[in-house]
Amino acid sequence: MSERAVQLYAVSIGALFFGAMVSPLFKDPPRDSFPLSDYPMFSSVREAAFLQIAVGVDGDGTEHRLPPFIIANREVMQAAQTLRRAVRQNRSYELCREIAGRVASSRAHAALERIRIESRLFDPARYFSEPDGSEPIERRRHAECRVRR
Amino acid sequence: MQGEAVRVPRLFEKAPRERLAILRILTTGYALGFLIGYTPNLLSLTHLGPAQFAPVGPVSWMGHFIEGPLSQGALVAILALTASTGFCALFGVFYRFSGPIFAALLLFITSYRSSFGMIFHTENLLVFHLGVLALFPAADAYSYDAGRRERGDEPRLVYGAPLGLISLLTVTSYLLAGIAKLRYGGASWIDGEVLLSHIAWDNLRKLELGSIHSPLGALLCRFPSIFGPLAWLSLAFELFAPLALLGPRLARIWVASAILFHLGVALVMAIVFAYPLFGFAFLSFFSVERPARSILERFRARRLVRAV
Repeated sequence: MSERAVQLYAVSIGALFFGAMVSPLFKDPPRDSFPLSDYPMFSSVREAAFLQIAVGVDGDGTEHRLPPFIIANREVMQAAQTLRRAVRQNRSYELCREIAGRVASSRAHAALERIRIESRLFDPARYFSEPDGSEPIERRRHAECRVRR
Repeated sequence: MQGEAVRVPRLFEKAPRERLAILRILTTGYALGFLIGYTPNLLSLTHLGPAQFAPVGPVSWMGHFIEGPLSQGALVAILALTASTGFCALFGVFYRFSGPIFAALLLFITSYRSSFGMIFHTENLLVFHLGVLALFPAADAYSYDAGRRERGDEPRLVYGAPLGLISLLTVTSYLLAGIAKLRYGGASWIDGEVLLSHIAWDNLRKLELGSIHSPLGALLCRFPSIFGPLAWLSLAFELFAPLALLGPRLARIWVASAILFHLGVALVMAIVFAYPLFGFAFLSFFSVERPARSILERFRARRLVRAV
């Protein structure tokens, strides 16, 4: 291939990849995707918001946090999305039963008797900086189910 | 690293074939490491069910064929094919075919991983870099293909152009992130409010969801005044990324800033962007063939001594 042909080829490939990469900038409204993204994460203020969580409850009524792999898989963000979508799509009880099934077969969670799925309102501005900041401002329970062993 | 070893490739700069070959080996090696490391997580996606399936990128373009999560068998087959072509690309076996196929399959796999409601931004650059490499003769040295054909030793444009393209794409991705911060956050980003709120939210979410959070990030949230300067620094690093294309010194400074930036993100948010954090994303800025040559020379010298 001659130098001129290489130049032409490189410019074409460059235009294709560069054009694809910057294309999300020109979408209205902007839409995040993969691998083309305008990288909107971490770019606007996070106000107080509801976080969907799943907790296990033992015989004394004490709540225990459940690790992501019990909810979905080892990726915490995928666990968060699993909970969020289940609540939005009114499938909380279904997910609760799935989680209870996984808890039932986990020795590490043998003390848990019930599973709860809730939305809890947290204010990130207060959570770490105020003594009672980690207490939810509001709780909404979506599902509760028993762990059957 | 010595100043002369740092190179800022331009689109039309010539380079030795070994430089592109080393980039192929390291980038493909990283991609294979990612693939193998994430295989258990990828396989667990099958359990998430069709209700959570929200295809993005190439997976959504294939919507006519994929209506829900892939079956375990199909996913295993695709992962195995990806790994096989990846090893062929790594060792430069029929790279003209294995390179593009591996790049395309990895694009599919990474898109599939992001097709369950959460879009991951950790592999965007990797798939772009692999795509560019696959379209150039990156296996003309240190490969099976190189052993089959004689190549000249002189630097050529066809080996240098992809390095320039990869560097251009790297700085562009950071520039885009900087533009997004100004576009969506504006003044709130500049005064550090956005940064503080995200570090706090990300850590509280991890805590509440029973995952590993960053105690350092949680501690820093008690001192809001430090987030203004941190926000300025990170915005400047992203918006000025294209300066890295202007000269070796600027490139060196920017690459060091980029690694520090990702180290900071890992320390305060427990989010690891491994590809840039460990320097793989910035290899195109450097004369990566020099350490490889020196290792090979030492190896040959030892063999010679043993033979004598």
